[in-house]
Amino acid sequence: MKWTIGFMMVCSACGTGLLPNKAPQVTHVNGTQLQMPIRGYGQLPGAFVTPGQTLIFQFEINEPSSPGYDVYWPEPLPGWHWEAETLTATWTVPDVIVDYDLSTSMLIVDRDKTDPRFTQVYIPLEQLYDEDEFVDE
Amino acid sequence: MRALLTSLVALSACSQWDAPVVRALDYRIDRPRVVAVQTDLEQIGRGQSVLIDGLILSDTPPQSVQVLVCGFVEGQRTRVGDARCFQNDELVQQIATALPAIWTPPEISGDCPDFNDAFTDTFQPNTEVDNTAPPPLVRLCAADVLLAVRATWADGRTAMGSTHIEIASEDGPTPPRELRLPLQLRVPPTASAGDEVALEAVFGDPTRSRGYQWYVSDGELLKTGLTRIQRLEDEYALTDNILRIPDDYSGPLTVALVANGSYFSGQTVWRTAVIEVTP
Repeated sequence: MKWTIGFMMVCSACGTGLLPNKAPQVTHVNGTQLQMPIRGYGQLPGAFVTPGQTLIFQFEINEPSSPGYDVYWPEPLPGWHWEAETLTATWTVPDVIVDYDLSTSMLIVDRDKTDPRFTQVYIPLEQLYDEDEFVDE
Repeated sequence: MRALLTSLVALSACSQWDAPVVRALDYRIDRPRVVAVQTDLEQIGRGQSVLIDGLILSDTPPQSVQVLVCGFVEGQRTRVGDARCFQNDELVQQIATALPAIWTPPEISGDCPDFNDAFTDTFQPNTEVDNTAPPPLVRLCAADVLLAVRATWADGRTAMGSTHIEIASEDGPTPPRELRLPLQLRVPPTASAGDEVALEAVFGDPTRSRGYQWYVSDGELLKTGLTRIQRLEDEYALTDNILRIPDDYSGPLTVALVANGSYFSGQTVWRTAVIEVTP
């Protein structure tokens, strides 16, 4: 019996038990269903941006197995705004971009304190340069 | 009982609560922590000394501090990649008992591949390089070991932080890194419980866009514990955060910022400040 209990504890903690906790899952972005929902680690299609442009990401997140989740944006970009109630990220691209690495990551952490899980969504972003800026010498 | 203990060990081993969450959200000084270790050299050349310092965050000063090196075997080139090295006492040497510390490691073997052989084995020769200049340290001739700062408190608590350093068998052309890079932490000297206060830092290296790690003794950082450059101010990089102070907090509240360095982006530097919070 004691071995059974121990085995069940390990299985449930590692997500292989009968009722495992699972990480939150991103299923839709801007109304479009992702071909492969993101759970654990995943990446959205990249986007080119230009100064002054406004980008909007509206997410749908599925988290049925725990008491909820929180969304964080580590290393937020300047001009990045997160609306938690509507799960909408809005980025007003600054007129002057000083960071050569514009990519950002979304961190979704569930509130299950006994077996916390998270999903990290990488969003590749890159500045779109005007071809006229480059002059052959 | 043995089965339960085994299970608990396994539980801790397969937790998903790992790097991304820890780096972004484990920012409270709710336990003694060594959150940064810096050196003024990336590689210690033959006969060179390295300056070592660390940032210890705690509610009280530690009773003792040790500076340790792990995996360094005199006369040999070794490579250590994991801080679990410090769990093996046979591999650990104490090199100082206070911070900052200066250490001159014993020389390691000069039995290394010839520089040109090593270079051409790895890279295509570059004819535009000035071959008359002294060659840089050859990585193949270096021991890559871990330096750590371990602090111990009177009640038995301990904290440790570590960093990598290379010890070369060649003379070291690497000039020491400037550890006093300008970093200014701007926080309000006073605040009230429940306030949201703006935190700002200005760093003297505008090219370092990421790796700004914040720590607070209490409260919530609305931009998480990790931030990046927000804008430039006169060739200085500015990063910021917002601290939400708990409604029931009173007394001094510590804020620390570490600008993390790396092999490519230079040295790690830090600043701390205190906000006096009134109810």
